[in-house]
Amino acid sequence: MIEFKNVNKYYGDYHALKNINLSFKKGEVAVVIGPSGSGKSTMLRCINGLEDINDGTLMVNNIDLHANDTNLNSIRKNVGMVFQHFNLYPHMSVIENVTLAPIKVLKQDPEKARQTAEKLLKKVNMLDRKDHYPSQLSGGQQQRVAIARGLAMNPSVLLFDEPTSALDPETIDDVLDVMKKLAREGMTMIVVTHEMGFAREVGDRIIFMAEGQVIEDRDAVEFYENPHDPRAKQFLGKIIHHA
Amino acid sequence: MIELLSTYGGMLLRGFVNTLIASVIALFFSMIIGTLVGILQVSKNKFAKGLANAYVQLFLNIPLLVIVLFFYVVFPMYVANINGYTAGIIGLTIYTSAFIAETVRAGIQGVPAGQMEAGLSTGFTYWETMRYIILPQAIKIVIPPLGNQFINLVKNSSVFAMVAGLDLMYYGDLIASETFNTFGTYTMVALFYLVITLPLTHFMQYAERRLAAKD
Repeated sequence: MIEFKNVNKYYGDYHALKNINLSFKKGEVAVVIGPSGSGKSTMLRCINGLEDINDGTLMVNNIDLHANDTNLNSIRKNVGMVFQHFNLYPHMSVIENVTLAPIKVLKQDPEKARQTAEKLLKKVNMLDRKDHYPSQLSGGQQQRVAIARGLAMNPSVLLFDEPTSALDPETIDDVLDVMKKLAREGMTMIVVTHEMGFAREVGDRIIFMAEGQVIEDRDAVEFYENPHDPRAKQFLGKIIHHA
Repeated sequence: MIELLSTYGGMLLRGFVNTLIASVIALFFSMIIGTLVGILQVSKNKFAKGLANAYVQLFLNIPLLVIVLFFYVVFPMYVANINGYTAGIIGLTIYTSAFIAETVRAGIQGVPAGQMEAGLSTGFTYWETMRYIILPQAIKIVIPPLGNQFINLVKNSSVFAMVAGLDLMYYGDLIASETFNTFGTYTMVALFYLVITLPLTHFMQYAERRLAAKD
């Protein structure tokens, strides 16, 4: 459903993505890891058009993202995104955060949108806080609301951009538990993270990136037990020592 | 002072009402123009952005009096005859709109970039994201500096006096030169300005508290 073919991206002279070839299938949970500056977040952000590519083709749900006549909004309706810093709307309550796009973009009936939102908030264990504002919630709670907000659009894939990197350690597990639940329910997920526990438990494959390239793309457990590339070995060693 | 009021109170009141009306009109239109220009200043369209920036730079950096005189003296020679009061309102509107545009631009840029990304990634267009997500947050940032602009607008309307603008300052000058009671006259004029600006200050502070309380 998502296919990168020879994708390149530059920031001025800086070659951020080098000849990326990747494909993601429906129902798959792919975990993208790599040192900072490796291009993993950039790659992820290309999928919903937050970053433009310079050449190659990127197909999302059979639509060429780079074509001039492509309406990015119609793609984004089907591609949810969860950010490192949650990016909840601070001027809206939890329930309003979740229902805003379904009501305004999908033109759902507000009552129906509210019911769906409550179901999703229950799923992420945040229903009891539905009338709170983001500033009254912990990071982990905000991130769970952000996941519900992404799910409310009923996307075909959910992108996670380091969803636990900005969280206090004690709230990380609550977020990971929700993500694992989604993975087991068959949600298509592409997750940029350093959480190797999550990768091993529910990841179908691990994509290791470095210096703008995909270095390894293999089964999660295989990769974890026996990374081929020396950079992957070194990186894995570092993050495991920290954990 | 009592004597001054009994003889010239009507004139002062007329000036006060004219200043109040001119301020309300200029405030209304400078808010509309300033908000639009401010939004265009951060738009992705290079042409619109360039035009908006040029507008702001031009009117931010010319004295208000020059703009008002332009409309009072030059404009009637080539376009249409307008009186000092109208020329004053037009000049004040344009001048203030440049400051409001800068305030609005700073307010929009004060909203974290992630908010735009969050809006876009749920399928909103750029303009929808502006409307539902960015602007409601920018308003809170903008209210305090905007209040200062409103106060400045009321005080700046006193340049009307230079173009026979029939405002509070104009009548004040008139009365002062007739009575030679400069102390009494300008004290009265100052008090009349305070009648407009003090409630305005308090209203803006109230609006700030109300908006802040919401989240």
